[in-house]
Amino acid sequence: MNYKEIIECSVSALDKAYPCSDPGTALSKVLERTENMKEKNDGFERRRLVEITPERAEPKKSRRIFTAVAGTAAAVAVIGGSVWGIGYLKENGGLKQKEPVTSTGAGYHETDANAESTADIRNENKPMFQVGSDRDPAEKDAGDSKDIMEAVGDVLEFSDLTATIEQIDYDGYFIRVIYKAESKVNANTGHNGNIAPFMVNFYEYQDTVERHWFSSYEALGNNRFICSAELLLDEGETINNITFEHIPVNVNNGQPEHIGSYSVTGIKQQHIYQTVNNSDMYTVTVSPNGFYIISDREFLTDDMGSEVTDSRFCVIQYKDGTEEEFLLSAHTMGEKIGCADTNEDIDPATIRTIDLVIRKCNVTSTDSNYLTRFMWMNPDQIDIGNIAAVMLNGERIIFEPDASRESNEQGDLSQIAGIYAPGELPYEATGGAYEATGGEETSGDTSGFTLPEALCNGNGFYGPFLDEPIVGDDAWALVKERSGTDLDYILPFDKNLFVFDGAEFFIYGEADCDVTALVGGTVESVGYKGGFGLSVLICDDNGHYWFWYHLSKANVSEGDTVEAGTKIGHTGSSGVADRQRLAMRVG
Amino acid sequence: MTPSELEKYMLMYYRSVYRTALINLKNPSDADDVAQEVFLGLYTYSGSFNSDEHVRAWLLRCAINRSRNILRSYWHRNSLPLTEAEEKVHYDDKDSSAAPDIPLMKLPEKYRTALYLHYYEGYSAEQIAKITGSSRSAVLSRLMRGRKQLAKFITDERNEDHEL
Repeated sequence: MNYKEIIECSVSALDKAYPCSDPGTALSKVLERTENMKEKNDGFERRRLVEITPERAEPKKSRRIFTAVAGTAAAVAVIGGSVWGIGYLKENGGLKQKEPVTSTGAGYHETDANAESTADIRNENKPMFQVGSDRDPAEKDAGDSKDIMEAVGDVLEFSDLTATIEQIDYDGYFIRVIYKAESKVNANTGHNGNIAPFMVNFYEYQDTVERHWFSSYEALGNNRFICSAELLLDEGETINNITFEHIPVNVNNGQPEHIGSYSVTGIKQQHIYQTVNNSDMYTVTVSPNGFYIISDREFLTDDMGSEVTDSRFCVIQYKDGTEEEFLLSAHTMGEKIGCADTNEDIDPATIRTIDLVIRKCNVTSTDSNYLTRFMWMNPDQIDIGNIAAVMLNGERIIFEPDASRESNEQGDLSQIAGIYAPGELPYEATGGAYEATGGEETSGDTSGFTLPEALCNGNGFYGPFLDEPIVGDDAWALVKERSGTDLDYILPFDKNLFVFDGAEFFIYGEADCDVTALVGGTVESVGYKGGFGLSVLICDDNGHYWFWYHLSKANVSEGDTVEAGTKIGHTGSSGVADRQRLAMRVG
Repeated sequence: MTPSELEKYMLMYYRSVYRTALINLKNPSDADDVAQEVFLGLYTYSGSFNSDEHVRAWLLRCAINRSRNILRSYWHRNSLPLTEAEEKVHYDDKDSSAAPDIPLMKLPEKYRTALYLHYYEGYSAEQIAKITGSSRSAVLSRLMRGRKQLAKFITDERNEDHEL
């Protein structure tokens, strides 16, 4: 029996076991569904007219943005000192800020249209949209909407966090907002300290339509997030009344809060920007912001109608030179390195590289899958391990360090930067330590510190490793591939959350293990620190601070003297942790 | 597309589309849904086709894409209706021993699809590459690995029979 016969027999058995329904019956169902869909489409078309014709947008008086709680007003008072009304009006070509209004603590407030300040605040006093002071976006007309590209610097005050918008990119396909969030943990919210997962969603109010576009975010570390959204608009098409939506955690009864009123105008879509990978498997291009990967593959052309959505693939190159691609269901942290379509487990020891790819089609779809993206962080589904820290799409993760990794010369720390599989850590557990003295690009304080010989006895990946200690207000960290290529991975240093300046040596990995002090020192503090959860801070004899966080328990107390090897606690998931993990920073 | 054209294509290709979805999903009710959605898409599709063969390829491509959407959906991977739990177990790749005793269905999805399209639907590796959104070399690799696994299953089966 040849393969063709085997397949034919299999198909025959399959037909017998799971017979196909009668095409005639199916035809009736399809036609019936078509009729239903037509009705919906009629409605959709009407809504589209409303959406792109702002003057037709009637105020939606009944819409309540949220119900503020007593703690909200207090939080506002603490942070702002005063409560402002809605932030902007465009007038005479300038941005005008309204006079502050007083919060009554519940619901949104009507603002006094006459109470306008003439102060131009474009260059100073960025608007602070306060919880409880935002009026119903549906009651704004198009003129109230501020171009979202001008929102950089805006401070959004939600009940449980303050989000400062740092960067906005729009390339015709996607809009991306980078914001820094600061938790209001223990300020007045009284919630349990968790602010994750949180995201800022964009929401458009129009008449009876509430277009809720975006639900995707990625963490950049140090409370910086990217909120990204697909936004396919015709060139010149403007949508107004977009607000940022955030669902607070454990406050305000979990009701979504909406702040601001922005407009977005479609721009010419650009297709090809930069080739980041060109193999026989595919050609991938990346948009200017370096975040989204777009494929120019033939199958992503419009002739697929509405069937193709975005497809995330993981391309794995094995050590034997073969490659396989896997359809992924999510990306970045918590990624399942495996495949949803085969349930195959992959032996990490066989992997050389993994490329994460998003293929994006340029078609419009009403498929709900097209508009809904989510982070998948189910630790039970992780086959190989979670990808440490931030992994940008298209980023290559090296699992198989080459021979040069054995080098441990001073200043060679970049040689070990990377993400490694268990058993492939770039140093011997009992071997000598690596010492970083900074590289050529180092600025600021280049005094090195010694990396310990052993980091953890758990399983998981470690890294990215940090080199180039840099001190100062703008402290940040570069992570390098072994090749020395910058990955533009930035760990902004938040002095509000850390008690020391300096570089961070960042460990992030899934682990269920005792946390052992890597060097001797004095326990400076033990306790809960916002999103870091239960943490232990140790100062060693050289003045370096070792900050262990997300712990489940701590075995030491403030003032204790510990030695290398002392068990100071156990890994956990306290604070902003999606799963039990080992997390440590040193600087 | 007119209803009569839709009827024509459904009579011609509905079984193929259903079977393609079934091979992907291993679930007859999901496969039925996918098949209907694919033809719904065809009915409302505003583009044109060069030939019936073009329609067929389009339909199979859509069936595969829709099936993948289902497979990758969070809901699909994390939910199991109680009423279907018992039935579902028999489809689950994770327990291949309980899978239906059909050699093709014991293979991973990508191998199943490639083998089915090649040996049953008669597509070449290049055509399969276009349908599945893969490269030709990947399809060839899948065909080769699929055949290898298939042969192993059958050999093992024969050996077991022999032992009995």
